[in-house]
This record gives sequence, structure tokens and C-alpha cells, in this order.
Amino acid sequence: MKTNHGMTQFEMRPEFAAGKSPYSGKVLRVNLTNGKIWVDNHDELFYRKWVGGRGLIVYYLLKETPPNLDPFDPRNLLIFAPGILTGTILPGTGRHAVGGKSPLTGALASGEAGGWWGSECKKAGFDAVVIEGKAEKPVYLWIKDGAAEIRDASHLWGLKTVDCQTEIHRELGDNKIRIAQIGPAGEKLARISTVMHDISRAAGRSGLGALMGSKNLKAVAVRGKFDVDLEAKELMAITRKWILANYKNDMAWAMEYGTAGSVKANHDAGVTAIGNYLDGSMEGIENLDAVNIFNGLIKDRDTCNRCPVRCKLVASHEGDVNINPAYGGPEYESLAGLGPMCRVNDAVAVLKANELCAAYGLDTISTGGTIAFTMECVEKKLLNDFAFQPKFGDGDALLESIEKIAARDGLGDWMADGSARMAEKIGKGSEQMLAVAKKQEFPYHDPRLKNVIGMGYALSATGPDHMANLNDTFATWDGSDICVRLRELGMETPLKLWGISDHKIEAFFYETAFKNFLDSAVICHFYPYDFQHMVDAMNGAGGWDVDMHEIIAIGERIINAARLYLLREGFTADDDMLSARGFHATKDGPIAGKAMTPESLREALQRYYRRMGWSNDGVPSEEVLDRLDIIDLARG
Amino acid sequence: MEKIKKEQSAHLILDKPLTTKRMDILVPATGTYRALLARFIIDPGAAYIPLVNGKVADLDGEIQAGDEIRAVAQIVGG
Repeated sequence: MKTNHGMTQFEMRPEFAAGKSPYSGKVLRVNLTNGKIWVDNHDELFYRKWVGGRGLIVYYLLKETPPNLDPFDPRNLLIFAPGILTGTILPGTGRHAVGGKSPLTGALASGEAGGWWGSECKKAGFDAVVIEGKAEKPVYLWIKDGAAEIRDASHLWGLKTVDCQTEIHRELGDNKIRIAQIGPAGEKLARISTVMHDISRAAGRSGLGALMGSKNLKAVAVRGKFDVDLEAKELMAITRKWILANYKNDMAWAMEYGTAGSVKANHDAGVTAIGNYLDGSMEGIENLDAVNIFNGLIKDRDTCNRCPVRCKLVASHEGDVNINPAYGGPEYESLAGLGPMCRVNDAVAVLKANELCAAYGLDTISTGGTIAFTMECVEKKLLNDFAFQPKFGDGDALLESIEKIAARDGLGDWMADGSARMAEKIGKGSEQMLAVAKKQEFPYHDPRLKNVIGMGYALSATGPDHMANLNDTFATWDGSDICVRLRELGMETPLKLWGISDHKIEAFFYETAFKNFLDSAVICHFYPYDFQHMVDAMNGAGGWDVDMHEIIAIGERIINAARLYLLREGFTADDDMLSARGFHATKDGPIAGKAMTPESLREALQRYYRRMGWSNDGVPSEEVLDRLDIIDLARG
Repeated sequence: MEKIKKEQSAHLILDKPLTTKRMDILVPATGTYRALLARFIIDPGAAYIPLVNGKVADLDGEIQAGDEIRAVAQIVGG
């Protein structure tokens, strides 16, 4: 395949080119094996049905990939998918999804990232980019103003994310180009690697970086001139005006410290897993809380397209360990995974670990979980054959672990594929120390406290996911956004905290439908939008007559399509389960003695299957698939 | 106003990010944790986990004399 061969130009729909449509109707297709570039044209009904983002990803995977592919098979698709609302005037829409078959789980990978990449992709003329095949040598994709080109990336291979972005900006002569890329970890096919955007915004989970690396694709650079416009601006303008008038009150938490402000609170309330799920508390947790690190280590704030909140932290430090602000700063999940999960309370070490993950392109959740698992294995003398022996609480070992993972060096070669695959190699009962579902590490919302989140971890087609889920502790507080949405549906609130009642399953059904809609549209979960806001946004975007029931049906469609994909790839109801640590109660701390049992989880799952219209084996019925208009996808 | 008797009271502690300064007051040991916290926490969109004597408690539990009650602010996602 020849590279740097010139741009292939596509003609835009006149309405889109004139700035009168929120979608171009064009999905850019690229085959890296033969260098072919073309577009799929989609009509209005496609966007109303699948919305974009996760919906578009699962549609393409079901429709175009053969069952049971190895995730590194060139026929696997790597899909970049903004949503119908990405890049519109609505705050919180500076997001997009990335997906494919996961190298980590073997199931669906669909991660959402903030920043500017998604909006710029739509401005460049494409509603999504679907990439297949494998290039002979490293390449990157350059997309601009309705045209695309495959370019040589031999000189970029091996570069950290900041260096790669700098080089592409220099080469193409434009510092406003937005770049999705993998770091060295993705190049080495680490199954816990990510796709990074704007350097610090990760489509973090499920090993998407390895999928991109398997295609020899280093980056996708985008720049566009088209306006993403609306059919009925006034409808969306109402919601925009409301949020701009209220976000300083409703999102004050995000404006003050970002998600990092919850580190100590979550620790104190039993939300955060500590020491690979063994401990109830960690001394020095306050060292990691944004309330404390703000003055010394957080030097600035950052944001995403169309977002006035600016919840992203920018860390900086000069000393024995330098922290480069170009790599942004940590979220709660990153601090929790690289901090208390590994019993590390040194803020500089944890922030440096966060920087290294952004530089090498590693998922901070799975990296933290895998290092913590390794530390426990070392403590139990299960890894004596390796010279490197990382110990709990050792900040230097944390940093060295990340270096070794990114380089697949020694023990790092095992760690690069996540804790579940490590346990398969180690044996000796080490699987009892795993905190995973479908081989993916749990996020740091503890299922022993948040039982329905645990059910969501077990069920999710994308592996454990704390976002497209029902957060138990929010559903128990009447003032939360979740309770507002549930009352909008006529449901009684608040919910009881412990256990998984039918009431909780009903709430889980609606909340996961709503959030799968958000991940398809693609909208930030932090905004306090309710169903009616999304009704207005959809109708404003497309000039449609969508109602609340259609929003729910869209979410249901995407959940059921993802379930079909999961089953098609060989998963069964037996795989809807947590690993041992999800059921292992701590001896002390705020949730001492609390945990579900595998039996209680199975019983709750049976009630959930019935609510979804699925069989006892978790298979969607033909009636449900017919109602959601995906029966053809089910039949292949 | 009748002074709260210590043996019939509970401690309510609210601290950052709920308040700029730590607040530690005696409250009557009557009613539920939910009702007590609703009097002091009115932030829209926020959610809290109640800790009673260091353990996560059911919000609908009854306040007992001698309880130390904390409300821990929750932040979604990340």
C-alpha cells in the first residue's frame, strides 16, 4: 500500500455543507490492507434509530464482522463514532465513542472520550470513521474537510502521545488539528491500552489501543470547516439556556475539584477499593484528595468542546519527579486505581503514574487493578521467578510497573494483558484474588457497597462499566439527578441502599437505557439532563417528533443489540458474573462484612432477564427484538 | 429552647466539601438519618452516603443516642 498518496475527496450533502444539518450522512470507511477509502451513506432514519456513538458501533459490528473473530484479526473493525448531538450547541456534547471487538474481554469494546476530537470529526464531514484491515507498516489517517488520506507513520511509531501530537502538528502545519492516537503500549498490543485524544482524553477501557495497534494505525488526525447545525435550533436553545443559567449551582462539585474531589469521601464511604479489595481503609488518603492536592500540584483547569464547567485538572510539578502539565491531570478513577487500590498515598507518585498512563496510552482503571493484583501476588510469593517484585504502598514500584507494562518488559509483559490473563499463567489459586468481570478490571465503585452497580458490572457487554449503570448511592438520595429522572418516569424515589430489589431493577432498566442513549448521542454523563431535555435535543437536532418512550426504546435497542453481539461471540449467562473479590467482604472499614453472594447475584440477574424480556439463559426474545426493530440484525 | 441532653443526642459532623469549615453539632436522637440530613443539606443534584459510627448506614435507619453521623458527598463517575 502506498501512503501519502493524496487526499480522496467526498462530496458533502448540500444541507450539511450549507450548515443546515447535524449529520453529514457519511460514514468514512478505510481498509488499511489495500488502502481503499470510501463512504457509506446513511439516511435520516438510521440516525434516529442508532443515534451514533455506541449505537453505531454495535450496529456495524453485528452487521459486518463474522462471529468469533480474534480481536486482532484484520477483519475486526475499529470505529470512531461521534453522536447525533456531538458538536452541537448543547453543552456537554464534546464527546464521541470508540469501539470494536475488545482485545481484553473478547466482547464489545465501546469507550467514550471527551475533548475536541469528536466535534472536529463531524466538522471534517464524517459522522463516524470505520477502519478495517491492517497496514503493512505504521500509518496514520488524515481527515480534512470531507477528504481523507493514509499517511506514513514510521517516524511516529514509538513516540509518546505528546511527541506524536507535536510531530503531526508540525508535519501538517496546523496546531488546531485534533488527534486520536495510541501510545507505545497500544503499539505493543497491551490489552489494557487505550486510544488517547487531545493527549489526555482516553477511550479507556477494553484494550482499544491494542486493537488500533494491531492495525498498525498510530493516529487519526482530523480538521474541519463545516458547521454542525440543527433543524430546530430554538428547541435545543431552551435546554442550553437552562443549563448555562444553572450549571454553577448544579455542577459546582465539578467546577471546584472535578471528579478528583471525591477521593477521600469515596474512601471514607467504602466506595473505593483498597489494596486489591482486601482493606477497609488506607492511611494518608487525604494526600490524594483534590481538596488537598489542588494548591500544590494542580496548576490549571481544562475542558471539552462546548463545556463551560472545566472539570478537567491539569497537574504540574518540578522536583525529583517532574509532572508534565501537557498530559493533563487525573480523574477520580485514575487516583483510586493508581492510589488506594495499590495502597500508594504519595500524591506525586500517583499523579506521575497518571501522566505515564497518558503518555504510553494505558487505561488507568485496568492498569491500577492489574498492578494491585500483581502486588498481592508478590506479597503471597506467587511471582518469585521474576526479578521485579512490586510491593503494596511503593510509589516507585508503581511507576516502574507502568514503564514495564508499556515496554512489555519482564513481568510487565504479563501485566500488559491484564490481571485475568496473569492469573491464568500464575495459577495457584490466584484467580481468587481477581477483581474482574469478563476479564476486565472493576472500576472503583465497589460492588460490595453498590450492589446493583455490581450486577451491571456482571452484565455489561462492554465489561464492568460504572457509567452506563445505576449508581446505588445516588439512587438512595432524593436530590440526585438519578432520582429526578426516575420521578420523571413516575417511579417512587428514593431507593433502598442495600441489595437488589425489584424496585432497583426497574430503576436499573430505565437508567441504563438512558445512559446507553447518552453514550450514543454522545453526551457527558455529568450534566444533569433528564429525559425531556434529551427529547428536546433530539427533536432540535433532527426536526423529529421523538418522545420520552422513544429515548428509552433507543437505549433498549442498543442494550439488546450489544447483548446479541455478546451472545454471538460465545458468551453465555454463566459469564454474567463477578470474580471472587466482588464477593469478599472486608474485615474492617465502612462496609465491613458486606458483600453479595454469587447466588444472590444470580437470582437478581434472573429477575433482570425477565424484566428485559430475555429467557432464563439471558437471550433476548424474538418479540423484544421485533419491537426494537433489530430482528434482522439478530438473524445476521 | 430546651437544651439538648447529651445522653439523648447524636453528633452530626459535616466537613469539606459540604462546608468550608468542619461543622460538629449535637442533634436530638430522634427520627431517621434521612430526615436529619435533609434539614442540613439542600444542594441540588448532590448525593450523600450516611456514615454512622464509621459504617455505611441505611438512610431510613433511626438515629440512636450517641451516634456519630457523617454525610459523605458523592461524585458520579470519573
